[in-house]
Amino acid sequence: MDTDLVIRAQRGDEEAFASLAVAAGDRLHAVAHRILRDLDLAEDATQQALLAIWRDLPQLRDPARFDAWSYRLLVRACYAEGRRSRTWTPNMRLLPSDGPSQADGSSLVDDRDQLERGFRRLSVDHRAVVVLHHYLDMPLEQVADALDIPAGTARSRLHHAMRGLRAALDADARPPARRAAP
Amino acid sequence: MNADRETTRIVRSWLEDGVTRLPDPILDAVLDELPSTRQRRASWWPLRLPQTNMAFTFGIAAAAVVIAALLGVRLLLPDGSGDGSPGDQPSPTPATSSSAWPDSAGNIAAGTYLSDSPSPVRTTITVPEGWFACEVGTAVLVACSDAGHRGEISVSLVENVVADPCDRGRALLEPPVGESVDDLVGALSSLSGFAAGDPFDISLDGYVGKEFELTAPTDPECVLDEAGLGTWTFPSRTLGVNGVGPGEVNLLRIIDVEGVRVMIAAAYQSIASAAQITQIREIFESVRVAP
Repeated sequence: MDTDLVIRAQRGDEEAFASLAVAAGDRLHAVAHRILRDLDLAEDATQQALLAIWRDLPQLRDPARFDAWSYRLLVRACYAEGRRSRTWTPNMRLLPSDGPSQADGSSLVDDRDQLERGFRRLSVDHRAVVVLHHYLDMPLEQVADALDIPAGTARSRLHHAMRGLRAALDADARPPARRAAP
Repeated sequence: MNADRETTRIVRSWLEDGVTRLPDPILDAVLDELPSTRQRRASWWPLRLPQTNMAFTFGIAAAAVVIAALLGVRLLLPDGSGDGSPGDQPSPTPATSSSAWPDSAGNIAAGTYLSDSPSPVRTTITVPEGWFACEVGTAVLVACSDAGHRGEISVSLVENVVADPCDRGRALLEPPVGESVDDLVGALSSLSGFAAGDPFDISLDGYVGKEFELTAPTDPECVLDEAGLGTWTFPSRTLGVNGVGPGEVNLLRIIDVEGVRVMIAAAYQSIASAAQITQIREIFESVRVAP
């Protein structure tokens, strides 16, 4: 990130901020979409985050930390967006498959469906750690820094989240209970 | 490959799918809002004053002491006009018990808060321990609690109402809802599948309006997405459409503040405990229009 642009935007230069927003918008939106799993909510969150970045930019002490700081504001926006939508958990029942487990490409589709459901059950806090670490390849220390949480908390959230996702995958792999024939 | 690594591999592959480009209209909307979005000045100071000498530094410090002393004397004088005679008493605690509503989402202490939202109206709200600011913006003020079942208090300006709560496209009423309190009460009461109580007249800080209860269907006919059933929209595009969950109850106060229609909403789930509802109601009733 061009720190000169950040400094100019901090001083209220709208053109400089526009350049920053163009450069950062795609990656912020990609992260928001992966956290929220909803295109409309992700667009709203990205828009909110960019406005928050503009509003709070003068408070950023170290312009070189713009990227990590922007993720923090994005996750806050995702958090607010998730709350605004008053997320509720539909009483979705996972129906067991009647047939034998499939070893072809459809099992990949099953994995993705199960991951989607498992991921949606995670809080935004947990989702953010997973996305920053596994999508952006951020080391956990950087994830903790970006989210302004202790490294141990980031590690714990990642562990919890991955355990939940693994359980979702395992549930899919488990053969359905079969009723004994009379 | 062990199970953890396999899970990581699958998760990483799954995360690769998804959008990677921000639509231009979103970016344009952000840039359009910059001129009307004031930047917050830095709340921090550099550790060192650059290019200063000791005399200048002492001068600054001395000036600060003098200003603080003058302010202190002024505070001790009744109405700032006392003559310092023995009969003068320190003024009572000034009526500044309200704190500024935070600029970002997060925890807040119990107390009374003053907010510039929903702009251009200023409001105050009193929240107990355990509530937090969960929405940021000039168009809406939202206090939340996750204790027990979730509760929210919001103060906002409502622009329009959805034509069909089940419509995923969130199409709005056309023509849009009218500008009066009664127009909005009528539109909300007519939301398909919702149960609306009888609206009654209220007066809040001299501003008149209506109060009523709106309950979402507990078993809606439509398949709901995460955002739930659509209800109303805000003037700010960034806030989108308000969504409610099945069975969610909203206590609504809609008042006319010098031509600005303000809606105060207390939302809770139908399964909330009586104690929770009582608390939410108290916070709901604490919302005031500030001068």
